Amino acid sequence: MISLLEAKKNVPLRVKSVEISGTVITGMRGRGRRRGTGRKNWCRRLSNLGIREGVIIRKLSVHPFFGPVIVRVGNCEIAVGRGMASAILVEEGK
Amino acid sequence: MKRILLFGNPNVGKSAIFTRLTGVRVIASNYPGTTVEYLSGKTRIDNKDIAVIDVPGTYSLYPDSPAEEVAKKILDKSNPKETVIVNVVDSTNLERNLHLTLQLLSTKFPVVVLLNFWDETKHKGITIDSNNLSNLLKVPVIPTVAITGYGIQELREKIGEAKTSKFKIKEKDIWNFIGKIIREVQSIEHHHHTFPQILEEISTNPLLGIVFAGIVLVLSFMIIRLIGEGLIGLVFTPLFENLWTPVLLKFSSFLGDATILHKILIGELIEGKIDFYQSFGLLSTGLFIPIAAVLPYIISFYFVLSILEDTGYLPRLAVLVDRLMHQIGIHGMGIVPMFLSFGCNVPGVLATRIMETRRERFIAATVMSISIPCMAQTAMIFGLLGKYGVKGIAPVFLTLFLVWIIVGKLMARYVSGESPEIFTEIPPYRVPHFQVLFKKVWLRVGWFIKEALPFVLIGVLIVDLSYIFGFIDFMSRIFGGPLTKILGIPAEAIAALLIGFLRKDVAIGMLAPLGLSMGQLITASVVLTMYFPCVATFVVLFKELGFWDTLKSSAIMISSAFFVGWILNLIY
Repeated sequence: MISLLEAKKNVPLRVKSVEISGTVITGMRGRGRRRGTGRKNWCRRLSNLGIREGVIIRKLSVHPFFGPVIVRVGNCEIAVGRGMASAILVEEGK
Repeated sequence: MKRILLFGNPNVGKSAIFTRLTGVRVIASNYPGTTVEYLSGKTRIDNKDIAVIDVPGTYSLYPDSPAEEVAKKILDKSNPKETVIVNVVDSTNLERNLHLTLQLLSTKFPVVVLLNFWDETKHKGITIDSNNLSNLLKVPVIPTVAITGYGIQELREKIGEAKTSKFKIKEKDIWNFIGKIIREVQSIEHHHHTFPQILEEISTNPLLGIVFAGIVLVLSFMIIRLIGEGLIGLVFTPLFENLWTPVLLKFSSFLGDATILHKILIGELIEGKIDFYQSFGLLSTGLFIPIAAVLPYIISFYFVLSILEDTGYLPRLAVLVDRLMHQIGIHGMGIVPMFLSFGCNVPGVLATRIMETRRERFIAATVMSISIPCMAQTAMIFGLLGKYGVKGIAPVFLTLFLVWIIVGKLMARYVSGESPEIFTEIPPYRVPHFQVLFKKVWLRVGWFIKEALPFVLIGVLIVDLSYIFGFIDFMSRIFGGPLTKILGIPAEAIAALLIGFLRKDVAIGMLAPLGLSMGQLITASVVLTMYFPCVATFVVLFKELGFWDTLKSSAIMISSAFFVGWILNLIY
């Protein structure tokens, strides 16, 4: 099992689990964590767009200089940040 | 039934369905966040007037952004006995869309499901058994193509059959259940990449995407210039000079050129002639600025912007500029409000609602109010500095870009709060429907005429009255000294700074009669762009950010404007 960030491009990848930690948030400063930025919330948002355990996704490209990762899920493309991409654990093959 | 709520994910064509049902002109766009304020209209079904509400796009009933919060609020405030939910579903993405559908089915509201983009399923090799889906969901399911109107009549006929499904399903079982439905109703054949799909992958590719974006942006700029200059040179200026000038000259000799009324209505005659940039009367400059100098650019800008929106290009641009935008503490989707504010800062500030956190919205709104000139201002800057060519115009926009980066970077460093990573759907390319596109341009241009024209006229009137009653002289005697010292522009320019609160295009127009040098014009244009948003923007800033953040935002604007003005003064 590897993270989406390390996975090969343009091959089918099966999502095994989503392990979101603090990495999703970049540029965090000071107090005041807003409701809805916790782990559970991001898992829910990912699954709302179709990234959840068991689905097949395909990594299309990784943007340089810590840019986002583009994946194809079903019939649409989704951009996810690097923190999130490294939290999505996948396995090659159907 | 008294009202219909249109619910669905972003980019499923809700707004197009809304336009089909109501006939009301409405903004229908291809990226999340256009319909931030919900739109409502009326339709007639069985000879009864029924309200239709276009609810902002949402992925689930658990809101994750202010736009989604609006959706939830509308649902909570509705009465299930008087309301029918029409759930618009993207049939090329059935699995994901059904999540919201099932959540809606477990509410007390009667539901009808529309399978929109039905025509696209054929190109993509997808077959959906809509009758079977209807049986499984226990509500009517209607295939539609919003753009052509296919299925809308069936919706009108079947909406009475909408019923409450009383689905009871736990959130954790919902995806398994959806999987079961999908296996029963949908089959997908393999198909080769279509041309739009190849283009889609090119435009988000890290290398080719940047080349593609460069081509798109240069082309957009060229088209905006071409249409704008074309309209000004071939239509509006001749119209004013050949038809309006003779009328005004007659009127001028009738009034006598020393009277107060002449000063207000026609303004000063420059060498016995009317100069539309310098005379500054209500009927001369007051009409010329909004109609002949600004309107052509507004038309061309919104035409190009609407094409970029409706084809679905903007989210792709967001991905490419994500790194750049993180420099100023917001993620790539921040490019959408930035882009909008090149037209007018008001929709720009409103569109910051697509950002998730308060910090991002504060940074985005402040940075755009400081450093992005609206189309009205840009048109006037081109009008005034255009005669110096690139040498005159480039410093203005280069300075503003530097300000954008520096102020953004400082805010990213010192504003507390958090900025999440980019996470967005990139909808497929779709050919814009030209009828919808033109309606949208017309709506936006109409908005400009309604909102801006009265303000311009009031602005010109205030300028004239202030001169007549000596208010400008008074102000320039008090503030003129420091102004000349810091910014190097003459004391009379204080009038432009004051009017800048009202309308920035008028303010820049006021610099024309002062006979400023190129350097002074550059400084004044930059300071006018930066120092304070116009009244309309200020009001929405206040509404969106609240009292304290608006105050902070204004303090940042004024101090940075004078600092940058001072530096420009040292250079020129």
